[in-house]
Amino acid sequence: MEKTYAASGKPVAIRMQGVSKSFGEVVANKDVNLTVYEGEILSLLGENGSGKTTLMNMLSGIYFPDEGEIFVKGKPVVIRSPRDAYHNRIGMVHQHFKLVDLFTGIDNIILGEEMPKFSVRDNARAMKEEAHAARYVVDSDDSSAPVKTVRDDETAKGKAKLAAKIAALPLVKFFKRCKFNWLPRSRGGRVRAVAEKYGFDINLNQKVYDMSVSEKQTVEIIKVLYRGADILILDEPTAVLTPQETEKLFDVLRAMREDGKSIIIITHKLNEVMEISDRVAVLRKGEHIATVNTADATIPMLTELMVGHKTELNIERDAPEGVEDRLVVEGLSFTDREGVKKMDGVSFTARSGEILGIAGIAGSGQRELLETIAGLIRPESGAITYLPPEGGKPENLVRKSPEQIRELGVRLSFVPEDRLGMGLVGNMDIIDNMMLRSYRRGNFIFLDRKNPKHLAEDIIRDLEVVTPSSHTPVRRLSGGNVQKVLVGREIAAAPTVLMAAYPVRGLDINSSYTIYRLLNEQKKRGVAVIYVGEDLDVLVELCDRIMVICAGQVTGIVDGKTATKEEIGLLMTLISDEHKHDADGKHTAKEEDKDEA
Amino acid sequence: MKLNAKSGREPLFHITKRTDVPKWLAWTIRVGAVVVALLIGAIVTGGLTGGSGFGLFFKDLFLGVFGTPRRILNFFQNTAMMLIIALALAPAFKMKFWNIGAEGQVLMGGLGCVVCIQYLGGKIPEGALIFIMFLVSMAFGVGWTVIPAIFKAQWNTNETLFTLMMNYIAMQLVAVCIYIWVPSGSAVLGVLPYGHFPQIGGYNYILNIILVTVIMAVLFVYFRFSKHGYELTVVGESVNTAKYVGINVKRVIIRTMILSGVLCGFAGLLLVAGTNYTLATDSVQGRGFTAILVAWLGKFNPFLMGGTSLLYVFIDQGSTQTATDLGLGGYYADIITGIFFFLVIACEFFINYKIKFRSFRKKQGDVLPETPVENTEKSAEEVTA
Repeated sequence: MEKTYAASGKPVAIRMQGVSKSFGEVVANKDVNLTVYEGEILSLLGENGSGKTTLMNMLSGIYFPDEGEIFVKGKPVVIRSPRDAYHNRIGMVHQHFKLVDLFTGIDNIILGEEMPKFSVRDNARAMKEEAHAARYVVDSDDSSAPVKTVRDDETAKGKAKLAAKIAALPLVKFFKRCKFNWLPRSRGGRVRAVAEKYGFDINLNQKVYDMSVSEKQTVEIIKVLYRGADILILDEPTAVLTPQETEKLFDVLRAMREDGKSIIIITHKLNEVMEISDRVAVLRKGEHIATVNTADATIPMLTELMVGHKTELNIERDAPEGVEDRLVVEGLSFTDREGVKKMDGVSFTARSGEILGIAGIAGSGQRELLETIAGLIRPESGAITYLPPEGGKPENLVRKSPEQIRELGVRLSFVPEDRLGMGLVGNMDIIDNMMLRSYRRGNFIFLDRKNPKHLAEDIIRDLEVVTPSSHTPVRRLSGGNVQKVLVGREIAAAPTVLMAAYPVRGLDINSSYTIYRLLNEQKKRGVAVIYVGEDLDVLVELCDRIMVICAGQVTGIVDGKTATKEEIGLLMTLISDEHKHDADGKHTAKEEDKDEA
Repeated sequence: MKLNAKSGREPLFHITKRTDVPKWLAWTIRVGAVVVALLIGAIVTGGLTGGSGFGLFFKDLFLGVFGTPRRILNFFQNTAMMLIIALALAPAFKMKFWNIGAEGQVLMGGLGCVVCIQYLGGKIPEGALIFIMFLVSMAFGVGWTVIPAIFKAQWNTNETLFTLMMNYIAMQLVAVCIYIWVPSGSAVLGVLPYGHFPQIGGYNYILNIILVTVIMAVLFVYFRFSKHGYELTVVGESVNTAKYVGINVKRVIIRTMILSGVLCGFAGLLLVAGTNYTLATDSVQGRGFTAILVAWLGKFNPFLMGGTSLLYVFIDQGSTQTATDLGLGGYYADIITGIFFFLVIACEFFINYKIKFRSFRKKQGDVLPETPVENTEKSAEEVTA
């Protein structure tokens, strides 16, 4: 199965041979062989959970391989810590940035840098040798006079000078250390030189908390380059970027390639693989399946390698039927505790039998919008009017708790972004999680576990949830199965409005398509579906209308059938820069923290 | 790996998380920890007594608990006392409300009893007095838990510091009351003549033990099968989830802490009316803190907590007896219980993680690169074996 096409005789930067790593019983990587050449961009392609990040973490010193060898530039190396990785000139930019928010970009870059070695003894020896070295002096005009040999340490003056110099060495070391430790900003120039060399466009004197996501990523990349890395590993670098920012990043990566650096990009976006990389290595279930030259590859072929069988990658989109207004949102505004305006006069209408997509940079107010509709956030102003099917009495949902909304008979389902932190309870089993929505029914004191058990079994069967039993705690399930449980429960409530925030984040291709299918089924049933997504390709294919928000403002609502990615990308960054920093700079950082937790 | 092992730079061991430990293995490790704790205890005793104590330790430990009928009764009484405080803490801890103020809460329950005895004792029938004591002690206990609960629910204050400080207020309150009630200034409240629990079958503590057993079962049902129990678990696991499904988090926090306070007050009642018949500032004897460990080791499952209480009291009472028999002084029992807790808590590490040592076997042959799969399987077997 394994095929490796050698690239045009370039020197090898990294060779991983027979590398395996397992966590408990989970085998993350099994006998992986991977070669990276100098001056190339290699894409590491694979579904979530296929072991891409684990493999790269072994190169960057986060994990230590159970088996296998790693060669850097032909020499076998042992990488036990990120520091070892730096010494081998390997640097990794992680998916979740590891920056100190309160520091400036430069401070973050020089943080933890080691002082160059300065040994008093070695310097003293070098000085002595230099002084002892014979100098030949010709001090006579007479060409026949012998050439005199002079040694500095033979004269009294020279001896005194040498002794003084050697005595001063500890002091010199002390001053160097002072300069290194107390005047670190003196190295700012060198950092900026690195930034300029590769054409990064960034103000490094800004504090990190004032930076947008793409700027933070830039800081991470400069940090790695400044430390002298020749081999860069980028973990899902484009996941948080707009199409325009992605383009910029790719330009920089190409410049680095020209400079002879090796770049490994971890990704699962096929079109980006085709655009940027020279070769693609595909992992599936922890195993290296193949490495192919990008020029020889096609998207269907890569998908097949990645998933293991042929997959239909088309999302159906039927024309909406029985469209009527279901949820009318008018002028919602909300400022969070830190005084950041997360929603600024948001107005839109969600219609039954149609999927409304919401696009925007992460943290532009999508979460707050959905949570406000669900009754978790009380907005400062605005109205949310629910128009029941078959012309019932309109209800205002603003400032009502989730309990009150349910009591009004509004069947609102919500698949939140944070699945295990909000939608489900990780330590409870599937049955108890089914009960979250329905446990209040029936008997006043005691719980009814019978109906939730049936529901759990139905969902496990219908959505093909892979689980040992319905008594398994949901945190033990894989991401895709967790999401099926959550979506299954929300759909089982027979909603009239279904909101889903990033429902396919972190899911493999098959699970993602199951979720799209479920959303489409709900649409056919006349549910008003609101879908917050990040993959613009999917939004354009799936949604009937797409609302774009930026820094809490609606910058446009476009028709899904005619919209292009570029058009949406532009709308995503329409608000002035100053505004943008407020919204996505601080708050994506916070959200990333939550995601990690 | 071959090269790495040769260069000697592969770490000596690394720690990996275990996902699914079979139940029997987990329990073997736990029982093993208790056995090792006893062995270390015996070695320490042997060291302190010049060797002779090693065997005596086991004998005295056992006889200290089961030596006489009186000791057996004491053993169960002490277990009941420890268990009721642990049960009182369990709802709070299950909700991740870190209440470390059980010491004060129980003491307040006891104070409630003594107040009733002081002012009503002898004036009304004994049965009515006990009933009033029952209500008042619970009210006092609830008072001491609900105050931090309200602050936590309304203003999200830190409950740990709050409940800790409330302990000292409770102790000083008891000191002041005793000062008022004991005119002689000796600051010792003698045995109170009224408000004693009835004896069953001629023994004092039987009623305590029965009541605590019943509460243990009731609390188990409450946690496992009631809606309240479900809600408090959801709040404990994730406040966000609770809000998302429309649980009123503030109400659940306050309601659960009222339950916790009722049980603390009840523990105070058992202490005064069922055990000591008096009250002092140190009546609870630190059990308010020890109960946290007991509850935690029992994973907040009431029946398991019953088991951990038995085990703890066995070690504590047995080692106290050993100290007396061997003339080892007052702190000896603390050393032994300390060793016991240390090992029992530390063993959870070995249940959750496994330590993989650098493999030396691999130096034997050069076949490695071709057969890495076999090797992983082997090492996996080794660990489970």
